[in-house]
Amino acid sequence: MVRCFAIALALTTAACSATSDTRPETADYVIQAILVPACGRGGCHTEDTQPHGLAFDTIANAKTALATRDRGRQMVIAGDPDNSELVTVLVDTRSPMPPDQPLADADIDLIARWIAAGADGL
Amino acid sequence: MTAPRALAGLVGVVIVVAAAGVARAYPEFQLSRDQTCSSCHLSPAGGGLLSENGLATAESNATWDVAPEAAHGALVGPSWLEVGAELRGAAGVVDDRGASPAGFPMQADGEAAAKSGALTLYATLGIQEGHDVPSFFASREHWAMWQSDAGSPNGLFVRAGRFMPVYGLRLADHTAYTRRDGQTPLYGEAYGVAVEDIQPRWEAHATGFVHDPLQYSAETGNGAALYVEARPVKAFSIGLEGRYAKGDPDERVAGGATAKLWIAAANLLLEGEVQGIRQTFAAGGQRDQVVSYLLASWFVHDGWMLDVGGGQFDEDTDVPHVDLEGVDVNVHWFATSHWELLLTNRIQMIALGSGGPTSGYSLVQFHYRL
Repeated sequence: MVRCFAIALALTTAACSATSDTRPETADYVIQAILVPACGRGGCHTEDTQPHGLAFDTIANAKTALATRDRGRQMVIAGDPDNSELVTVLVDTRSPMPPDQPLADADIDLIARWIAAGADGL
Repeated sequence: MTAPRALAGLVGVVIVVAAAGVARAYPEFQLSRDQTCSSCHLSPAGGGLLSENGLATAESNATWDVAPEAAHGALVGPSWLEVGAELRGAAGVVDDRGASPAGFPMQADGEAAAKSGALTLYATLGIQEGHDVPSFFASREHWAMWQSDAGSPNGLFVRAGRFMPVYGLRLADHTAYTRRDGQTPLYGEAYGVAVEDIQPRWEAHATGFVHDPLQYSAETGNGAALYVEARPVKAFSIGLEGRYAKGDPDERVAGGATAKLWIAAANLLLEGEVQGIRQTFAAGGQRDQVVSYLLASWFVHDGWMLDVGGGQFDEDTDVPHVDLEGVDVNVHWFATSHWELLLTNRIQMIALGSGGPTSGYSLVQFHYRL
């Protein structure tokens, strides 16, 4: 319930702020602008470390990660951000990723919009 | 919270932060203890093995006296060889919309330098978080250096090898915003050639670099970095910096400024840095970022230092509410020239004043220099 509420809030906020956020809703942009710096740097989800088997340090590694399952759930389900594990772990109110610094809502919105629009480029 | 969920969260925290630390120099000591990084370190950029003067400075800055040399003076090798090691770990609480305990190793690096006249060979070898055997080991730095005045902290230095291209204040804490979100992130080392001129009143570092094709590096581009610092008076420095990198995923053009002021009467050092970054993505899109950090360090008493810092990072100046603001309070205790205990605390907020999520941490770090 909490997760659904958080995702709904993110999408609602996205709709309200769409005019001020014109960033590309593409896989390469989402990965390089958000996921690589937030997840793939600092020795976290790198090709060397791969916690949960996921690496986000390059566009290619991130695309591989986003096409797999984590804890039994598909990381990205095109058109369905509510059930995409990537969004779930970002909005989780108990142990969200990244663990030391939450992503800005605007960034989560962009990811959710990209998935909702079909996860172009994945 | 269910047990598996809690465990997954804890494991996530540990893994994410596990490889988090690499001991570098304390720029707080420049101007307050000596004029340049090279006064105390073998590297002209600071960090790593200490020179004879650096050992004496470390000793004079500690609460208890012990032999500052490697292995407390028990390791006596040939004069041309210097060895050392850095061990770090941390434990505490990380809070991101919910507190979680965290404990992890941060660094285990061996270091060695061989010197002969004007030439120095320097290398580190360490253990890092990895998912297979080859990735357990990493050499963050290995370089050869020629200097115009052997054994002197001043003069012309030429380095070639793997190291962090010199840029900005080079704060020890890699989570300082100007490092993590700026152009000197953790594991940002690259292969390069640097020409560095260090004089008592100024210094300049110019580095050309290419990304590492073998070991993991946060630097994915090839380019150049320039850092110039002037010290018109002994207690004040001002610096300018510029950097360019271009790789497969993006192109980055960065510039910035630094300043440092030592107020001897108050035992207080103030330092700050601001960087602007234009990032152009190969797949389309561009953004401008601004990151800054201001740090006040009070040398309270022999062996004790209190840092209070404030940072700001605007991820994309065209997008509202993606800025991050944070405050750090760190208490350092240099028990001996080999042991340091550090209590580090941070609280930060996305889009200060807009009700964005907060996060933070409180960690005790242990640092042992062999």
